[in-house]
Amino acid sequence: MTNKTHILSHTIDTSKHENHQGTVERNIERKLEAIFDNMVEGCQIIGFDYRYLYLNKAIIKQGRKTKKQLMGNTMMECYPGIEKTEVFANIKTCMEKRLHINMESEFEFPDGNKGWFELRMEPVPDGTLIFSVDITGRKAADKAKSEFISVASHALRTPLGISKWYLEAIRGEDYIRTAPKIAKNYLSEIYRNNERLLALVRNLLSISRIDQNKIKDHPELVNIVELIKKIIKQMSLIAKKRDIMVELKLKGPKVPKIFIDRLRLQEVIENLLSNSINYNVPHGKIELILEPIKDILYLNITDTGIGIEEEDRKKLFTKFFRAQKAIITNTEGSGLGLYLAKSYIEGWGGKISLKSTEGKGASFMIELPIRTKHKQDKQLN
Amino acid sequence: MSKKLIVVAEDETAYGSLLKLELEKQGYRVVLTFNGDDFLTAIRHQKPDLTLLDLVMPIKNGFEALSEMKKDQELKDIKVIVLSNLGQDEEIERVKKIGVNDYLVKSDEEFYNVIEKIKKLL
Repeated sequence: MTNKTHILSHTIDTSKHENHQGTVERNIERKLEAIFDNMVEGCQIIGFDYRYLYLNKAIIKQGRKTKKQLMGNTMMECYPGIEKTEVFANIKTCMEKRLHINMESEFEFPDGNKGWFELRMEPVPDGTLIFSVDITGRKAADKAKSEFISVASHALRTPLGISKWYLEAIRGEDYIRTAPKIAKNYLSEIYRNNERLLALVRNLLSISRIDQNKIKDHPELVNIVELIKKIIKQMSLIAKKRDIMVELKLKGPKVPKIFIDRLRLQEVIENLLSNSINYNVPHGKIELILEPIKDILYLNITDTGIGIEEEDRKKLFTKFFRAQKAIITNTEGSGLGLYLAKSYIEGWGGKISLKSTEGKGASFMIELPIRTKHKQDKQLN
Repeated sequence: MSKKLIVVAEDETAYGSLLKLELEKQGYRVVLTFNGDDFLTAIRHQKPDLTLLDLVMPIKNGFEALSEMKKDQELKDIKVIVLSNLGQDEEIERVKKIGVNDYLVKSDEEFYNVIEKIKKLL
């Protein structure tokens, strides 16, 4: 058995072939070599002395050196300075601690060019086996997408923001205060729809940032009871218009202040509450129950609205999804609110779930881990 | 008593002129500039009580103008409110690191709230 196939044979479970001899074994060796040599993924084996023991065609291309320049030489000889990189540190960990490691890394080649690689490191008997995919193109596309969204959102926000300010300014003028009611209603309608567009741009930007793992949390100590009361007060006008009663109930021990991103938590509760109002029936009810149990804070929002069909429940938290009944009841939703809520809540280590009976309302249960600042500091230390 | 002076850097004339109109109504003097270069020249000459600075502007953007301002001993203590439609965490953090009195995302703020925040700083 050649050294190469010996190593390769350990990377795939070939134990069942161990008792086979002769032709069968050679056939397997040849097949394995052919598979590894022609894989689209780069494949290399680094020995315990950091020498290249095996390199397939794809990795030669990715490594931007010839097979002759690499084989038998150490990584440090081939790529001076590599020993200071995160990639090398992970190879070392994989080598010494026999751990599987997955990572994405930007690598600078000796000629100054850079490339992004997705790496999968596996400990093998002769050292470390590394599978690699060149993701430079994907990273560039991600960057371009992020820049495009940033530029597009700025370009959209500017005219919408100007309209918002001018509408506010004109509504503050005496001649509008004394204008016929119908004129004021028209202005309100323009203003409301301008706000809708601004909210949509804001949500699209948030989604793009979630997709790119770019959401940054700004946690602070939040009195969630006060926050919910404030939100209920803000929404009381819309609820009153539809004759919907909103009630907050506190259960169990005193609700502690929690360490969380206030604005995002507010966004989540506002989204859920506004859904409960918009998809409720006239004279309906909404009940918010807050209850701390051990390390979890439970927030249950139950309404007496139109409910959600079983078929739609599975898709409810996906991007842009809107249930048919929801579209008929309220044409204005974007289908982004619940997706954002779920993304934020899960990002905080919490959960959101739904119980609903069609025609009899919906009940959203949020579970948030109770983190105090003290605990958070401890974790950081 | 002389009126307090506000220098505005804003390339969108619609924003600039509305701010100027309302702030003058409120009893302030307002100088409008349309890029970072003119803004720096204006504040060097006029030593305003407050500046309102947009970030995306031609010739010299708001980030550059703010950095230069903060490095200049004579200008570094002038109050700055950034008024921008850039609202991503990185942009806000970048500006706050350089040092500003407030950062307001124009499309997220109500016009009269902005005016109130300006008045509070003066």
